[in-house]
Order: sequence, then structure tokens, then C-alpha cells
Amino acid sequence: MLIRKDDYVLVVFARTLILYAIVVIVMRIMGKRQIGELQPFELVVAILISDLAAVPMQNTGIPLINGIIPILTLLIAQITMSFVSLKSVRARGIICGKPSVLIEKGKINESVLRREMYTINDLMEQLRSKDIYNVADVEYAILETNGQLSVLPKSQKRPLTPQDMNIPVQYEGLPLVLIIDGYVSRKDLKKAGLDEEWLKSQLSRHGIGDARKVLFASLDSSGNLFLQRKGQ
Amino acid sequence: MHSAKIVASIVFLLVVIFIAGSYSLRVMVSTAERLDQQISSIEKNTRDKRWEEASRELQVFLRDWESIEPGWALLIDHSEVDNIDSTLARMEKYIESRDMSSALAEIATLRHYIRHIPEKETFSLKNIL
Repeated sequence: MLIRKDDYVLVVFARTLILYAIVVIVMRIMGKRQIGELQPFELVVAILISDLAAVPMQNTGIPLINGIIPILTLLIAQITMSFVSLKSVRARGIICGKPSVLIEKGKINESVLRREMYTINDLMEQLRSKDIYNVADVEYAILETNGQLSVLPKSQKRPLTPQDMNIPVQYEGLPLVLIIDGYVSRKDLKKAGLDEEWLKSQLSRHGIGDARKVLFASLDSSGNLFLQRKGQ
Repeated sequence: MHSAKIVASIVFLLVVIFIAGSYSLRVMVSTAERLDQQISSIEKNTRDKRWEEASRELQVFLRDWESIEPGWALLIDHSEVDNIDSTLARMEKYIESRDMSSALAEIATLRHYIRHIPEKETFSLKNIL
């Protein structure tokens, strides 16, 4: 039987879709962390998975299973590592590493910088990205296991807070989203101790007859309703 | 409860991979053994110049291979399957034209391919390294 050229294209198309679905599911199972916040072992897994999926996608000579089994194996290994590091602090130290204190009590820790292969320029760059332009303003700088730098400025250089001024403040919770794209969130309404009748009355006060005409509506912890119509 | 779910999912996935892996290997080995026996029979008939018999057995082999091929293609490199296909095509012509030395050479190549594939898939240190 002769195979047409467009059959080959369809084979690649189908394989790509299958592997795409598998990679999406696997990455979804693995967790929600962004690339910049990955632990070293998680970054390795992400790179490996992308490569494992890409090769059988374009090479129809490789059985699909040769791409799927390694991806599933990596998923098992990654979940196991995450689980072990979740359960054991000691294992966490070995798998994820430990944070390194680059600046301690206002003094740059040179030996730690060398050990982490972190140059002064890298340190300055990271500090600048956190709006700190003078090293002398830093009390502590900690290089986290995911590669991010956490900075504690000296107390006299920290931004002023209401507590510093002894100003009483009101509690601010997370606003509840009541309507998104015309869909009413009954779960959030219930959480706020309200019902759809209340929502209807609020909408009619703003001249809106139907919740489907609302783009977004939220309720903050002080009870203020924010509303925006579609096309406004 | 959440931890138990994670452990159960990992164990389930591992069991599925191991069972599917060992089952597919077992099926592949037994199929290869059956094909190997058929090849021996074709070889004997070719050596004895019983061309009609050899040709008939080759047709049976081809029919068998046709049903086995899709299953093997799921597990092994498709170039290995192509190698078997092209060797079979050559073998068919050599037996048809009663060219004994070429037919025997192709039979030996086919046997090598058939034996080599399950060997390549076996869980062994040689294959891992």
C-alpha cells in the first residue's frame, strides 16, 4: 500500500496532539510553580520533559510509547522527590539545597559568594532589581534555593508602615469575586453570606437587569461592591 | 489522607508500567520464538531445494507477520520493522527465483532481526548501560 504525503503530515499532527496533551497533564500534576521559582531538580525535569516530547513528535520512526514512558517515569520520580522533601526536612536540605546568607548583619559574606559562584555584580544587580541601590542599606540578603534573592533592608531604611506610626488600620481580607464574564459565582456569594436575591437587588440599583451583562463584580471585606458592565 | 493518595498514585503508576512492560516483553519473546521456528522450517526447505514448500511456508510467515507487525511497531523502533519488511520482500523474490545462496543469506538476516528485537528490549544491565 502506498502512503500519501498528507498521511505523514496527519501522523505528525496526531502524535503532536497526543504528546501535547500528555505534557500538559503531567506539568499540571507536577504543580503550579513558575519557571523562575523552580527548584533545581524541578527545572531539570521540565527541560527533560520538553525534550522527551519533542523528539517523538517529529520523528515518526520512534514509537510514541518511547516518549510517553520516560515522561511518566519522570513524573513518578518528581512526585516522589517532592513528597520526600515535603515529609523530611533533612531530605529537603539534600534535594533542594539550603538558602545561603550572602549579606549578614550588613556585611558581605565573601566565602559564601565564592561557594555559590555569585559575583558582586550579580549581587548588585539583584539588589537593584529590588530597588536597593546601596549595599550599605542591606542588613540581610539571602539567596533562596530557587535562585531568588530575598533582602531585608536595615530597619532605618525600611519603608514606613502604619505600625511604625501607631496608626490603627481596618482589617482587609481578600475580595470575593461575585461575577466573572456574566457568570455568577454562587460559591463566593455563599461565602459572603449573601444570596442571588441580594445580588439582583444590587444590580438593579446600578440599572442592570441581568447578571450576564456584567463583566466583573467583586465584594471587598468592607462590603463595598465593585461593578463593571460588559462593553463599558 | 492527601499523602496516602499521592503514595497510592505513585504505586499504581509504577505497577502499571512494570506489568505492561513485562507483559509486552513476554508476548514479544514468545512471538519471536514462534517466528524463529517458522524461519527454521523455511530454511530447511530452502536447503533441501523444496521451493514450493518453502514458498508456501513463507506465505504463512508473511500472514503471521502482518498480524504481529502493528503490535511490535508500538514498542520497537519503526526502522527495525522496516528492516524485517525489506528482508522479507527480498527473501520472497529469491525463493521465487530459486536462488539458494541469496535466499539463505536473507533467511539468516531475518533470523538475526527477529532474535535481536526482544534481546534489545530485555531488562538487562547491557541494555541499561
